[in-house]
Amino acid sequence: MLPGAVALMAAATAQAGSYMQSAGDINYSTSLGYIWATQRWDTERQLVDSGCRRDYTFNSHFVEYGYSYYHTLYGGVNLAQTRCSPDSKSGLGDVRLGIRGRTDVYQNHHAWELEATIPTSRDTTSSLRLGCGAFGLAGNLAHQDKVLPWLSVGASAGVQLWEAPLAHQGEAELSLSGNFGRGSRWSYDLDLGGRVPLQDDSSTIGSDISDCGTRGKLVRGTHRLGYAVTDVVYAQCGYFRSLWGEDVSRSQGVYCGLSRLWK
Amino acid sequence: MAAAARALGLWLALAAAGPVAAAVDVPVDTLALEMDPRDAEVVFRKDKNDTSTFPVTVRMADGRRLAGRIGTKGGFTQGFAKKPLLIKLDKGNRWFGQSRISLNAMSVDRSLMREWLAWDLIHALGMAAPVTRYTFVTINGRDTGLYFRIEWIGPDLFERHGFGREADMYDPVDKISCADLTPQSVEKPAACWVSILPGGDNFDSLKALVAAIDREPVETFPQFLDREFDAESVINWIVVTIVTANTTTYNDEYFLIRSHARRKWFVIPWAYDRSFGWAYEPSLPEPAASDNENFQYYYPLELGAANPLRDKVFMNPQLQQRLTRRIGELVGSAGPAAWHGWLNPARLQERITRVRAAIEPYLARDRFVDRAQFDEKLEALRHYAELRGRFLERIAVSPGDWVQDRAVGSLPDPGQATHLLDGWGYLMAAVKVQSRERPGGLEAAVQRGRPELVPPGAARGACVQRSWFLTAGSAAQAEVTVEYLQESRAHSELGAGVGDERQLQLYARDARGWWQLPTERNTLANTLRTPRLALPEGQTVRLVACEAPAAQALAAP
Repeated sequence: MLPGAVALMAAATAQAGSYMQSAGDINYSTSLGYIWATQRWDTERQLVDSGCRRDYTFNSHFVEYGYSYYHTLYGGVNLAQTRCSPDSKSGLGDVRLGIRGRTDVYQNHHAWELEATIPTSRDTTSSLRLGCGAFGLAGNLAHQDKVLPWLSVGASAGVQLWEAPLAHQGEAELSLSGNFGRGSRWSYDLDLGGRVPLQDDSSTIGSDISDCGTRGKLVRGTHRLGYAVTDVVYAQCGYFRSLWGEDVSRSQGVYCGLSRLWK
Repeated sequence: MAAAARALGLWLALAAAGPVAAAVDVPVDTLALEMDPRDAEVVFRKDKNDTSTFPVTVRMADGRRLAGRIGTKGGFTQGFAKKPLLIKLDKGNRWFGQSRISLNAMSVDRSLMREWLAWDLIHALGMAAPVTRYTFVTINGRDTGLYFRIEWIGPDLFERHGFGREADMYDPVDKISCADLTPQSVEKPAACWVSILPGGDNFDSLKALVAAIDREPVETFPQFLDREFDAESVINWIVVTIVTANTTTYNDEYFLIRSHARRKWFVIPWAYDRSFGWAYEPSLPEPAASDNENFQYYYPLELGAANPLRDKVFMNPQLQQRLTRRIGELVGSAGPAAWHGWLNPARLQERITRVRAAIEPYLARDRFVDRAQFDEKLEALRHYAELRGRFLERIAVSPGDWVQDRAVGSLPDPGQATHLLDGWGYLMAAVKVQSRERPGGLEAAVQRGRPELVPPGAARGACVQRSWFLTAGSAAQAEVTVEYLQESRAHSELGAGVGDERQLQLYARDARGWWQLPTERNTLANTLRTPRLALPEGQTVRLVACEAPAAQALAAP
């Protein structure tokens, strides 16, 4: 999954294992989450009130399939409700389909990714959106290495190309992750990511808490705590918060999810 | 008899089905695989947690091709360069009668013989056990490596051994090591066991068995064993564990199977890559925990984890006698049964020689074999083969005086060797006489702890923490081998100042002073050998082993 590119979907995944799935494996994850924002950073990076409390409640469904050792296919969708009192909207968010491959054929965590966003509602102008509301194509490179038995360091970077009027965006993320000791079922994940617009002249599409296609700049931190219930069932809860921004909502969110692997 | 005939029939069928080379009784099959060249590299170098499989074709000698998929198998052994492999042939395809070809890489045991020997013993004992073969694997015509092929445990095997195809089958969960048949082990059975048959969360028959074992008094355990189990499989499971010193079996490495047709349980022990003296190092993570230099041949009969099934066998005098009798048959001379004399040192050494001859042509072709390591591991295995039977005979079959650290014998004839063991079965010295003035006695003793005397310039802490003493009744010259203990980091006689075990040097002190002896070392077996040692008549020669060169020791006389 792209690094924070689409926070709603990124938050919605609860993955237990490798970045690449083993051939034939199917991993399904579902999450329940809540994101909210009461402030936004303006173009001068000053915090101002959003005008309303913006909420986004979602239930995500995400499937990955190990098509072969070399390629993993994935897709997902959100059921969501978004609100900016007194207005609200609920329904299906965007559908995302992607393919992941290896940049190092011997490593599970050295990968590229290509992802298409297919909107279920072509709506880019409303301040209440359940998804991005436009077609998009994203590419990403991710790299993670275990540097200590209990610590992996990762980095990723990518671009998102959006159908107008959404702005193309660039994204990057650094992560620290691992287990709490040898053989521990508990795992942690600390991410620091951000995005910038790749077009200066794109129009801003409202102050929605969605990240996609805006010309705002953002730095976000995420903490995740996971627990391997069994070898194939994994539970995870996370909290993320926007740490710095320019022309963007100051959002934060919590979510919990379960994933199940079929080998 | 019927089972034996069935087994023979199968063997003949297998022999007819594919190529067999090398010695008749140690066949080595060749498995020719074809696969995408990139896949062939990836399968050996991919992340060990990735369970992907790849298309593969088995090329038969007659030109037929069998399609299937190949992947890696096992746990920590995937951490080695030579990966254990599993091939699943497509429906309808069979190679040597099997649709699954399970290939152990023998990466931990670089003597490449422990598994062969263990399964040879199991087969000799007539246990229900998988067919096993050395199998040399080529991929796309390129030599890859020598593997140990082991039949997939399943209904075909059960039926062949007269247990019928219908069975319950439980396999301990690897990594956890809690499948010890205690009531606790079935409180949350899925944590300790995998229910292969009937499968899923059904552990009913296992729970009933555990409860029955727990209920049964020790006094009536022989009747219980005969009623509930194929009792021979339990006795032999324990015997094989004792002979091979396979410490992980009682709570981890075995299959527990209940035949519906015979309404009895039987056991198939498993995993012999770390056995025959190779000791686990609990202070290290895998694979270092298994791939270390610790060694022992002196684990007692009760080695391994506690297990009520095993424990009640030990506690019942009748069953213990049965165990001891079986061990006696193994360490004794050849007899009517195939297992008689299997552990006799001379016969076991001869068997190792035959296995070595059979696999020798393949060693140079195995791209993962390090010849120096093979030779060292093999020598350690031979040390175990020489001593395990003697040790068991001393402590279980014919206990002697239980005098510790001292052994008395006779100087052998020139060209002959003797192993002097104390009353507890530990080797004091192995002496191979080259010349002697006349027949006489020979005494060997060990003093444990920091050496009282060391050569000038040597630090006691840089020495093996024991001294050896040899006294001959007649002047003689002999090759002498002594050993020290290094069972684990915590239980080792290596002095704290010994930095490199491979630099240990034997020194002898006699009436004339200290002598530096030519020394051959096997740091796996923990043996030190000097090819020529002068033993003066009636005088005690003291031996010590230190790492640092002694400043004033004299060259060997």
